[in-house]
Amino acid sequence: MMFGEEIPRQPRPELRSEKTVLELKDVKIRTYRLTLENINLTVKEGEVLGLAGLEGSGQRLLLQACAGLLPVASGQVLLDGEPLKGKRSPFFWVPWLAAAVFVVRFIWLIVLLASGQINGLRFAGQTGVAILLAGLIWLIGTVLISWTSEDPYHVFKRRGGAYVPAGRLEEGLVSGLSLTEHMVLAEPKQEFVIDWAKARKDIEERIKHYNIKGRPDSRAEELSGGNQQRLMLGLLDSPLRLILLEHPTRGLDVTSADRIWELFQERRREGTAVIFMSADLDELLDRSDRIAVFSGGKMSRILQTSETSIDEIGHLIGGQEL
Amino acid sequence: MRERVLRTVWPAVPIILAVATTALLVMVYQADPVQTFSALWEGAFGSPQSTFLTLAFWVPLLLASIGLLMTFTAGLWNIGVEGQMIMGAIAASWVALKWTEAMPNAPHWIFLPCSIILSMVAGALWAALAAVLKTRGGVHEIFGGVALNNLAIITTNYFISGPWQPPEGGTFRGTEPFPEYSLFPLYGNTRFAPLSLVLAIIALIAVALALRGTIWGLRLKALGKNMRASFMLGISSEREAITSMMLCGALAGLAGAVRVLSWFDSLRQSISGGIGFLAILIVLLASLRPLLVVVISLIFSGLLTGGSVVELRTQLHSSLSGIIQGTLVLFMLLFGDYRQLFRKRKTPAEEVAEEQPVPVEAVES
Repeated sequence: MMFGEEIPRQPRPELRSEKTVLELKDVKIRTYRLTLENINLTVKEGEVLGLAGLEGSGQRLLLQACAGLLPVASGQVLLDGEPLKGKRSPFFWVPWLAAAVFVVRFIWLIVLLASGQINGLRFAGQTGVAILLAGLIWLIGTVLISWTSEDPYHVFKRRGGAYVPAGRLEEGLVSGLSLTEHMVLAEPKQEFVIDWAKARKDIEERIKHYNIKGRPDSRAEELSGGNQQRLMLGLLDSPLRLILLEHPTRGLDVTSADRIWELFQERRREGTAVIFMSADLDELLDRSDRIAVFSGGKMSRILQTSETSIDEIGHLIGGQEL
Repeated sequence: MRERVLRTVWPAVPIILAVATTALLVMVYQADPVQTFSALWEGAFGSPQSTFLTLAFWVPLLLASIGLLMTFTAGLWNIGVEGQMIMGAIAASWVALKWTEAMPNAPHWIFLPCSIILSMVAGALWAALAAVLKTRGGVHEIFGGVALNNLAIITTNYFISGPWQPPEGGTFRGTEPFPEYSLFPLYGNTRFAPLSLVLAIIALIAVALALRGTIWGLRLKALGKNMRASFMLGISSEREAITSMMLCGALAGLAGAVRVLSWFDSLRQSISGGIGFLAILIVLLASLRPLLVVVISLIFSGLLTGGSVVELRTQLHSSLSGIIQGTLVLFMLLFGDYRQLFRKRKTPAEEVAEEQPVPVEAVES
């Protein structure tokens, strides 16, 4: 706490469900800067897992890998028991067909050239035609693939996951779009023709529920930082299976932070699991059921919040094993 | 309320300023500005003949601009629109030149729809190439577009001097004229095709409505403003980028078809006449507002067709219309956005103060 007054820790409902939402098996994440290895983790319905550590110790990478934003080098990420991966396009074979068409035609042309049925000039010309044809097939195939494939992160979203990044105007919200427009984009079921009246009603409801200081027509960048944070959380769908949060209450005052966590508690009752990273040790101790501490790309054993202390976490953040 | 009036009236300000500046310039050369501008007006809209000429020039310009509305909304700089027009023109020429030759007994009305469809497909595929180069190959659409523009020009030259050469021998100027039934039905003795204008208006309405009221238009808008955040909100940037580029390419291809099948009657070397680049300018000047695109593109077509009459009437060179265009662009860039204009310039200190104070994280251990 920045000022002396001690704020009592709120009682948290104990939720015990045996249903696994997220499971990480021997996950290895490799970036140019940091490698995380042998990550094994299970998160149950309604559970809150806190990730502690200095900025850049690997907790963000883990969050991103759980959402499909970062590919894992090896191991498996299972969401509700099923591996999390992008949807492969049913047209994945078309570029290969293009290559095959070219190879077959080219071999045939070589045969014709060798047997003296065409001369070198004609051979070159026909090869050019074959390249153009293969290129056309490849182009059409690639367009079809882009239309029909789905990014792992979008699969994650579709399967009830949500990811709230820390960069509000960089990653979370679109500057220049109104709150209503954000609502339309965030809605899971989207009609082709936008029902603006309905979207406006929805966002007004969320504005009230999440105590956002802003109007439906306000643009995202006109809101203050705390209100942007509340907007991002307010745009989340309901019910969700898993929410991943980067610094969920950074920049919020204590009351707002409490309100935000109250709303997460509501979601927990619906079976939503929460994984969040935070630099605020009090928040970690207050809000999570279990805590994993990261230090220089290594994840500690997972601590039960009730059996740990600020000191222990502090030592683990510093890289000391106790 | 004042804001709204200002917003509707404001676009006229740079136009008035440009006209005033050009008038001064004309006076320096001892010509009568009134006479000059009336000559310009007459050249553009004075007689039915000149009006239809302006309209005939306007339609492909409008089509290309409408296409660009989509890509610019999505934040894609589709410089390749010129090449997409050319490919559309080539596809239309193929139908008008070769299909008519190959199927002399087919009903005559069948060729025009084929031309239109094929030109749109060709433009869309050419645009898809630039889009795929961007999304899969990491080639920025500006560089890909410029390269593909050149390739398209080379392709025209190849067809004109190669397989589609007129029988009397190789001039580098164009193919032989297409049969009349394969062209757009022209209005009277002019080069204006009413059908092409109808198609352009349909495209304009469809695109304006789609950008304003559909989830697709909103996705493009979001993408253009912040790609990363749009992705996080669940928009597939690759899919929307390719779609918008292809739709733009289709309209540009149609513009190319209008060029060969109404403005010209054959495939020429300079088939687009810089219309693609002009369209980019128009869309940027109109700051992506469909109605302004219509107005500005009409003004530009008028200036271009009116310029030649100015030369006949006064001793001024026909590049006067170019000067008006230039000053118009300059003043639009300078005064086009009234909000920018009236905003008090901030000192660096004020700018810093306005930014959100970032809270210091309390790491306690």
